Amino acid sequence: MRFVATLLIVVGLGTLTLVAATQHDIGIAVVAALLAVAWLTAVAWRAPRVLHTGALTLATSLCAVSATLHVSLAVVILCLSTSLSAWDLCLMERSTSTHPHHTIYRLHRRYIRRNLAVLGLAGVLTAAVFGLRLRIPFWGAFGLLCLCFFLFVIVFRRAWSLMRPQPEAKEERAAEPPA
Amino acid sequence: MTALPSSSEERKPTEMLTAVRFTVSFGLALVLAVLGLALRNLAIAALSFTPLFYSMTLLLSYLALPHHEIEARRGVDRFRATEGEPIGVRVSLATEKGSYPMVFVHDELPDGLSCASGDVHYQGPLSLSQPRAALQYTLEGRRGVYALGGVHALVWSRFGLALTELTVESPVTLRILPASEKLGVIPIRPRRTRAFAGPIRSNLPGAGIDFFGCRAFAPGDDIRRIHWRAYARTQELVICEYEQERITDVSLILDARSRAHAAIGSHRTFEFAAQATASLASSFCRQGNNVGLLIYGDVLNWVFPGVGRSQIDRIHDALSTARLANKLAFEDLRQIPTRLFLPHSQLVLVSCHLDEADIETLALLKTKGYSILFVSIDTIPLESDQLPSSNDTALAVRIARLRRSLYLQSLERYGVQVIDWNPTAPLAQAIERTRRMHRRMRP
Repeated sequence: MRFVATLLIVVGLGTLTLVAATQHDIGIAVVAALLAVAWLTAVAWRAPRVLHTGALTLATSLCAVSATLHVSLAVVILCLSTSLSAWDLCLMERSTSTHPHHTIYRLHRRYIRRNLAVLGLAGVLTAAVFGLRLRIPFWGAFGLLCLCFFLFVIVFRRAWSLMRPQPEAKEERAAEPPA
Repeated sequence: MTALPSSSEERKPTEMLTAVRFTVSFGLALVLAVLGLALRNLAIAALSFTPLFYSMTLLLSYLALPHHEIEARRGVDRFRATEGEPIGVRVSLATEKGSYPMVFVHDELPDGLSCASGDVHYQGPLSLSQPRAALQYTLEGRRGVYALGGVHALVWSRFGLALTELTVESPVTLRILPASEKLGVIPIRPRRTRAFAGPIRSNLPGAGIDFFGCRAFAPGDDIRRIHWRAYARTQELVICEYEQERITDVSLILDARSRAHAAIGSHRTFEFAAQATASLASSFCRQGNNVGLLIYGDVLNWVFPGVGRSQIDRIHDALSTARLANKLAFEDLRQIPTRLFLPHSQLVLVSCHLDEADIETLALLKTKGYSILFVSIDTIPLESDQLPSSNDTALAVRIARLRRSLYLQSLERYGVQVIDWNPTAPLAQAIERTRRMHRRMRP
């Protein structure tokens, strides 16, 4: 998983660096190159999750800035997808690193395939959405913004309550008499 | 094979990782969407689709994750084994309510146990069509008591990217006993023996094999024991007496003080001491003696004297949990609780190194009437193996041997019987050598 994550970081941030350099956006190119080096170091040293998440946040910010500076959107989407994919693989690698690698190889391979498929599809969808070339008026954008925000909050709260361990279940388990 | 029914299942907070992944990706999507709409920049807003699609896939795959019960049964072919003896383990996994498209099962072994053959992992489906899977392997371990806990299972969603981790509890406690070897007759000569017949010479006249002495015939004596040659010579009836052989009380003392032992390369002299104590306990118990054990060094670990097979098991169980300790209260042998030992009984001390104060304590015990056998572990062969062979090494080994022989001689001068054991050779060999020397010195 770490090897694939390394490859994805090199491909994503490397492409962004090259394209930004060719478009004379030296600032973007330098930051992308530095971020790639720092993240690759973090991957090599099996750094904590928070560092990988920080790197992903920086990569996303860089993509947003690149998009505003008219760097090719295909490259930006590629960079964002590969960064997200690499971050996910790093996190999963850490969570399964207690098991010997040779024993969990099949599961890792399966996960890598799925991860790449999902994020590849996500990239294609993003490109398709951008290809629609929508033009939104100010109040339309504002309304969409508010709607998005509330939708996000609702989905987030619902999802979080599904995923976190239920306190009632814990209490029930604690109340059970020992066998 | 004994099957232990246990299938209590605990869901680990691996879901937290999924929640973190979802939160981060969803948060990024929200920030990009808000930023894009606020700046009215469609490129930035469109970028939010990538993390949004990822987070939604994650959420859906989490919802598609199977949450059925997995039952694990762990069976072992024995709960007690000696070091080096394999223990067969079979873990059978079953699901009866639903299916897991892909599970990775890992039976985690505690430190000290290792898988000798077979596999402690399983990866594959656990579905209704194939509801059972099994791990089969053999274990070997170092001396100790080990609790095999839960079986860890990583369960992956049929669709998407979510996973969950289960720990299926299936507890089993295994006890690895110290390896022991079969020993011959151990030459001990305590002052007091018990009333029952056994292999220990009791220093009392009576029925036996070894000649003890002669005395004048008294009415009631068995005429078969009359010494007819003496009668022909002296015209007086003389009776031959033989030495009675009985069982005795043996107290084994395992020296578990850190300062009395050493670690030489991969060898631990305490392990040799535990093995020697186990062998001696088995041998004394098989001869019918009343055997107790004191592990001196940590808390007062005392196995009350007893006889028979069950006593061997009790002593071996105590030895399996014995460990080195560095307690000020038991720093030297002076604090040894002599009240635990029967007066004039046989003490057997197993140690690697005793200092001057300890030797004085043994002398004091000797003056109190105890017979003492000291099994001394010779570390010089182990140490010399670790050193490069040279003239200096040979000289150092020679000096060490001289010092050791002086140290053992000082013990023998106090009347302590010494078995000098080189742990690279069997203990029986050292005992046989001591027995032969003892026989030669006997008048």
